[in-house]
Amino acid sequence: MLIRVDPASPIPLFDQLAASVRSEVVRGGLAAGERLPSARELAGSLELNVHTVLHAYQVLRDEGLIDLRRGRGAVVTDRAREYAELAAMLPALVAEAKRLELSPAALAAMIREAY
Amino acid sequence: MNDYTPAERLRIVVIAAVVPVVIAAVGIVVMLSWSADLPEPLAIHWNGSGEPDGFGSLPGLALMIGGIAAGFGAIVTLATLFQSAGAYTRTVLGTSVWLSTLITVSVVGSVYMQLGLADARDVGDGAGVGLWLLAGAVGGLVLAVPAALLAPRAPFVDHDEAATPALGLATRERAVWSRSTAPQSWLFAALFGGILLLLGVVTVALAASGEPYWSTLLIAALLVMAAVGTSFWRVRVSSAGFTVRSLLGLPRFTVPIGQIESARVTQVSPLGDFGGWGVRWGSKGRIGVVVRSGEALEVSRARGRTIVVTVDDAESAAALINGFRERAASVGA
Repeated sequence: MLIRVDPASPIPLFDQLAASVRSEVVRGGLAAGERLPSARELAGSLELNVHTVLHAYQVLRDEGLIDLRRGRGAVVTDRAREYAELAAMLPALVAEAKRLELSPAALAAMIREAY
Repeated sequence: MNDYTPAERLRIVVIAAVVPVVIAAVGIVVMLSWSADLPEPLAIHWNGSGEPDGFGSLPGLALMIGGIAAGFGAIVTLATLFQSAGAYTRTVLGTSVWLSTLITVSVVGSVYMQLGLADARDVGDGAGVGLWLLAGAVGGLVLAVPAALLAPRAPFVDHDEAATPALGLATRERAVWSRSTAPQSWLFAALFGGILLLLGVVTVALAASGEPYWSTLLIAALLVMAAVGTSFWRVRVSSAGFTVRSLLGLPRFTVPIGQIESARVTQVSPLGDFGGWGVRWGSKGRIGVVVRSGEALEVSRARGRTIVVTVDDAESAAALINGFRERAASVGA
């Protein structure tokens, strides 16, 4: 599992952390049933506040990607498989956007509007 | 996999399994032919001052010799046939012959010492047992060296891949990679089965002789702990460096980022490259944390030994290590 956050980015750190976990699930770096490091451990390695990590874990729990259980830590749920299916649809979308010379932000805006 | 020819495969089976089992079988037949002239129970263990302190039955000893020769032979044969070959392959094949000879000669020798006795306690002197052990070890070498030399030369692949390209990291970006690693389940099942079989044989032998078996259970508990402690690991790469830690907390290996020269992905054949599984000395002077075959992370140090860990997604780990190194170098420049 590779997790990256950049304090220089305008995106909130907890958001970056959650996005990083999501993209690892999609890439296959994290599989269903696998356990994430404890919030304290991850905070230590990334020099973040424990609350920032807990905030990210709560976001992921609310979306159903991880289970948070006392004593067991954070475990990736079966939803991970479905994320991989969703991700498989992306390359075609991105290729088409590139052909039309749309920026990633413009494509993201189109997706947001389609919701 | 590897590309041994059918003739070479046959030679591997003969050296790793057939020869050791035949040696054990000859020993068992000889022992059984003496059964009318042997005390019951037999002395099977001697304490430090040379007094016999453990007793067992003839069938128990026969089972032990046969079990060890067949069990070790089967593991070595299967692993050699299915893993890619390496610098250690022929040594491991020879070891199968050596182990079988050592066990057979020392056990049969210790039984021979009791031939004609009414009570095994009269066998006394442990020095004789020591000599039989030595005879077994030397005799084993006499057979094992030619066996290893007759083993097919490895059609082995040298995995000298280049260092993995560094992950591009922004100036203030923080990153961490972590992953747990464990044996393929069949391997762990085989290991556990082996320990349980050994435990069963020893317990039966001790129960037959009316000895207490709490010490056996203690040894079994230690074996299980050692098996778990060297089978399940957590690997981590952070800005501080590289760590591989057993599930039990120890053993652990840590390399601070400043001492790492480079990292890359490599392919490991446990038997061929490291002579087995667990924490091992390997070919090219590397330390290996080897729990399965295949993809592995190799971390080389400016000073000190290279460490190899079999782990999935080693590509990301190597890229991150090289990314930290590259960023540190560009900041320093």
